[in-house]
Amino acid sequence: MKDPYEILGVSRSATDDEIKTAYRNLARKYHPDKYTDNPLSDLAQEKMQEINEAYDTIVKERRGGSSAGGGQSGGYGGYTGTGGGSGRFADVRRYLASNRYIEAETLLDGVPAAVRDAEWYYLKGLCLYRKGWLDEAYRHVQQACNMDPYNSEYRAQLSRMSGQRGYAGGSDDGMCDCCCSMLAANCLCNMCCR
Amino acid sequence: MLGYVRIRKEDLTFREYEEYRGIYCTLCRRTGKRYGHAARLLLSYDMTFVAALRMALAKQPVTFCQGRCPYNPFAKRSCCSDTETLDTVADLSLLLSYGQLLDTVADGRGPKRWAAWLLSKWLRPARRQAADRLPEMAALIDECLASQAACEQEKSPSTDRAADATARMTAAALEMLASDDSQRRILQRLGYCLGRWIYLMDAADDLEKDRKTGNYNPFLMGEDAAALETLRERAEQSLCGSLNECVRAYDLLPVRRFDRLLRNILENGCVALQRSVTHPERKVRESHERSV
Repeated sequence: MKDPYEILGVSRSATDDEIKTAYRNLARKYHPDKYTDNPLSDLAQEKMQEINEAYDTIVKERRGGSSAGGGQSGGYGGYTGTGGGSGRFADVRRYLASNRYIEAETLLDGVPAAVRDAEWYYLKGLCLYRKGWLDEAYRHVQQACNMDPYNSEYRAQLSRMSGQRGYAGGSDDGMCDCCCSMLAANCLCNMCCR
Repeated sequence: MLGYVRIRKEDLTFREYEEYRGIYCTLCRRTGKRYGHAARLLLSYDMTFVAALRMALAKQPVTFCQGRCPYNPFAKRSCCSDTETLDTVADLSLLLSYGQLLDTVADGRGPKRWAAWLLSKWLRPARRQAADRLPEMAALIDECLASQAACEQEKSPSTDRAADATARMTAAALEMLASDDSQRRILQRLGYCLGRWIYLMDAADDLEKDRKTGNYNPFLMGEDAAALETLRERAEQSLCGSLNECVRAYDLLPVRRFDRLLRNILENGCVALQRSVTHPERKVRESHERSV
């Protein structure tokens, strides 16, 4: 196994706080939420696991072998991806979960236009996103939300995608922040109304 | 390639800037040595990014030494030791820029078109040589240029489809740098989104011009009445989406050096250029503020 200090990018003489900060920064960088439905999500997950293990090892080592109770690790875990699922498009979702978006898209394209429902648009959007066709991906998920406005899965994906279509770091004008909070408020509103 | 992938100089340290310039200079020199002086004219910042990325992933150390530029012998320049990488990037650069040149010949106008035509004739033997060195890449570029032309002929309103050819070319170019399978996947994604960004930047940059001349531009299709600001805003969203994807892919790469430099390019340089393209009025304002 690689040196845990090297993985976190800190020296052996670093203080506990420095290590915690380094861990937090890395965890933010590889956070599963950032890579939801990304074709590289499995690689991000590997990285995340590596960091978690490295942090655990260091904490254990420093506490003289006792277990790292109350540590930060383990806080960031599993992916809330497309998953297996059942229903009409179970096979498409299975392909997507194993990153085979070309097969998934072929299956979806075989569905006649007349019976394409919200889920179809949502899944097609995910395929397009993985392919790198970001604009059409966004439009498809938008369409899914229009057809089925109360579906939380579609809405979550749409809000993620709209977030990605703005500047990452703080923008010039407070527009982005404003939009994000509006979106968040909108999501919450929905939960109440249901 | 178009030269949109640049550094933001004011955010770099002197040393980082020197290294960047060293890579650029050595790339220029190797291109001259391999393909003659005319080929140097095709060099772009985009390919310097590619070269720096390759070196950042390599195991062997990169060193710099002092040298002089043959065109400006009084100026001292750093030169980079990793000539093997730079030779490969020079081959790639020639193939990609030659494609760009043919594109200008096909739908450019006026003196620019004639210059491109002349240069393309001049560089024909060089292109053949590069194609012999990287036959698969050359075939892929030909295929991509053909599908690009078809898309323009069709006047497709899909930005995704319009950008696909450039994106695939860039993806293939970056994939060549990979040393294992997971790197290959990351670089493929990074390349695809970066190529897409480059194409869309070019389209956003030409919005005003293309509206006047009637040239193909995916942002203009079916949007005859929309105001330029609305179109630019829409373009900005697509551009942000692509660039954010690039950074996300880049984050996963096991970068050994030049991390600050490469991040400066993706997170500062590209963003600054993108803002100046999508908000040309702001640029005027900023320069005014500076002068005040």
